[in-house]
Amino acid sequence: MHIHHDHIIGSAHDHEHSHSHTHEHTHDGVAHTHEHTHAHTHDHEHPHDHDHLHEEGQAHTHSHDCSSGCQGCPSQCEHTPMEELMALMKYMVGHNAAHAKELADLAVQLEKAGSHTAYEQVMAAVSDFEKGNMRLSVVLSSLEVK
Amino acid sequence: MCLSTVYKNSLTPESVVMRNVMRIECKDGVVILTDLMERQMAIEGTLEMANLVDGVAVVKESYPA
Repeated sequence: MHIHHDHIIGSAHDHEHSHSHTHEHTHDGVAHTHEHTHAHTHDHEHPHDHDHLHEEGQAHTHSHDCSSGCQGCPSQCEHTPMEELMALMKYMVGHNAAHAKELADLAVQLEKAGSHTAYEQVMAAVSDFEKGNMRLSVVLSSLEVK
Repeated sequence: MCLSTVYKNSLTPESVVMRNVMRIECKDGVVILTDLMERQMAIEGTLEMANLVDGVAVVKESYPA
């Protein structure tokens, strides 16, 4: 598990710091160069440290150099696209099964309310729905075998 | 019970901060989003809106960048 602190990652910010540089300028009409140090306040991006929470809920700090947030960070917390698709697929199959049950419960309510035809039609729809979900389940199983 | 897409500040495509969100927690001024892969994102702010039919939510950031 990986907490991404949205507010501190990859954001430009202002703060004051000093640095040295050399540039040409003139004194009494005579051009010359020398190094000098002065303060700057400007937007910039730089490597930084920040806290992450992992599954145990314990925060730790590590540093990285990024300019676009954690999305582009190839950490060990990342999953492959196929793993993500499989997880989504598994979720959808379970989710559809739950919806099928909800629809069946709704059909029973229609029956109790005196609409037997509606009950039969909704139960037929539930059956079709379950067939579709079964097909998804088979696809998921075949992907898990690979 | 459906997964949601969470936006920051406004419901625009470029404001999407996380998809397939399965859990949203609001704690101490921070909204913590968790997606299907158990990845988490913390945003300082408040949950402005959650439309559970459309599967969308908007988090209002406290200190916009």
